[in-house]
Amino acid sequence: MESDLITLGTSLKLAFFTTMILTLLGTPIAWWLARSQSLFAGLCIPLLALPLVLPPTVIGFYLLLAFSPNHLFGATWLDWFGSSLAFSFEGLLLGSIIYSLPFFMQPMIIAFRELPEDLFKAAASLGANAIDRFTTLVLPLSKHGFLIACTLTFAHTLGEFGIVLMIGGNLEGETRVLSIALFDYVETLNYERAHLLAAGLVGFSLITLTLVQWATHRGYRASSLSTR
Amino acid sequence: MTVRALTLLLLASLTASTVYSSHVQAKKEQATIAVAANFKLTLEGLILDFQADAPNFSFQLVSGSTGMLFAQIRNGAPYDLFFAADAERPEQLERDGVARAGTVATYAVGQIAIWVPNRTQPWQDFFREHRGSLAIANPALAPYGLAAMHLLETGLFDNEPKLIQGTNVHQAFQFVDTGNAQAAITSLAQLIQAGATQSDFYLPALNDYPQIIQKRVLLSENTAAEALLIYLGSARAQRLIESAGYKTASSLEQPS
Repeated sequence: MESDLITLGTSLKLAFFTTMILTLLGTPIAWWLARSQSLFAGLCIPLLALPLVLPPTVIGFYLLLAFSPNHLFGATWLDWFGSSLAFSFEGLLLGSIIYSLPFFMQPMIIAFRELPEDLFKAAASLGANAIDRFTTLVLPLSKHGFLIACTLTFAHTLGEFGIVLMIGGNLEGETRVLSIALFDYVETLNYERAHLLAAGLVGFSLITLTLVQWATHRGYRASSLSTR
Repeated sequence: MTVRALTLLLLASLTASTVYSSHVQAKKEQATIAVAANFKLTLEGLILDFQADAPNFSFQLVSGSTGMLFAQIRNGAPYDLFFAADAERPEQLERDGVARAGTVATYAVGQIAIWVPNRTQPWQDFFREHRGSLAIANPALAPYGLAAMHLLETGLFDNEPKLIQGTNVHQAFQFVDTGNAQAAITSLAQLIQAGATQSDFYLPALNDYPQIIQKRVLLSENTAAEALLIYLGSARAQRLIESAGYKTASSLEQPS
């Protein structure tokens, strides 16, 4: 039971940091992608959606090769930080960020595209600078977009399995997450503990998706009100 | 009119193919075999050798972890024969009445090996000085991982290595092969299959860890499966199993 709590802690920590980093890095990129008409942006959008269709094993395989000190990325990382990314929490975090990228970016791009352009022009003509416009207009108007993107990212990271299996190494308190512990319980026929974790994940995911559904619904009403 | 003609044609071809395939099946004796991942390649080699003399038997292999295959069999998977990586699961199936009574037997005894590619030191120095990572199979899932844990408890390494767990010996091997871990405790069979250099691996004494007894059990009445088991008892098949990196029940009985 105590080991399950440690595992739950690792999972929550991973989901939290993935969501936080994606919010910080992904928001400006999503804003640019939503507005840009350039060919480069047009190429970036399908690239960012790639983790949605690729099996996690593909990403896990490439990450395992990239983390290896035999290759440039892994060797450079080892040089700078003195420890390898494979079998570490930081390595899992990097994997989760890539894996959950579309779950954050897609809702944000859609949310930003729905914002009325005229409003920004009006605000600019009244003397609001870019930062003012972002904090007083963009953020409040795309509140529901953030809520959807963050909950989806968080929930999707909690459910991550294939990548962790390939690059994690099953270290307690470091890389053993809920889905891995569940896999181990099923394999060792410990169905009682497996049920506990599985039911917990089902319950949590259901609540999350209900929340997203509710936010989407509210978001539609909010955006239809604002354009009226 | 054309629709009716097409339907008739379709029906006719379906009937023909069913008749044809049942005809082929009557000629060929077929069995589906569930095999623990570590023995899969060895079994494939054995089957090829067997089929050279008995071409009318055909086999379909399903490989995975022993725990997963066990769960599938318990839930009605249509396998005729089960090669497990342990003794417990086949015995459990026999007790539960899922397997045929009296058909459990040892087919191979696994050996573990420590693999350190590009080793620069003599083994004694390596065991004394190694401070890095050591990849093993998950001891909760894989008998080879459990054996590795027992071996470590004998105090083989002076410093406790950082244990990286793969789901099975293949993944432990792969962690080292990709350069992400420096050493692994894997199976001798895996190293032989991968063509590892003999000077790169260390074979601990068999009594330094609990025996990895791998048992098989029949799950149905199947001619092909039974014929294969008779072949596996032959001296020729036993030699093939030994050269693949396993001990056999007969090789363990003779003091070496």
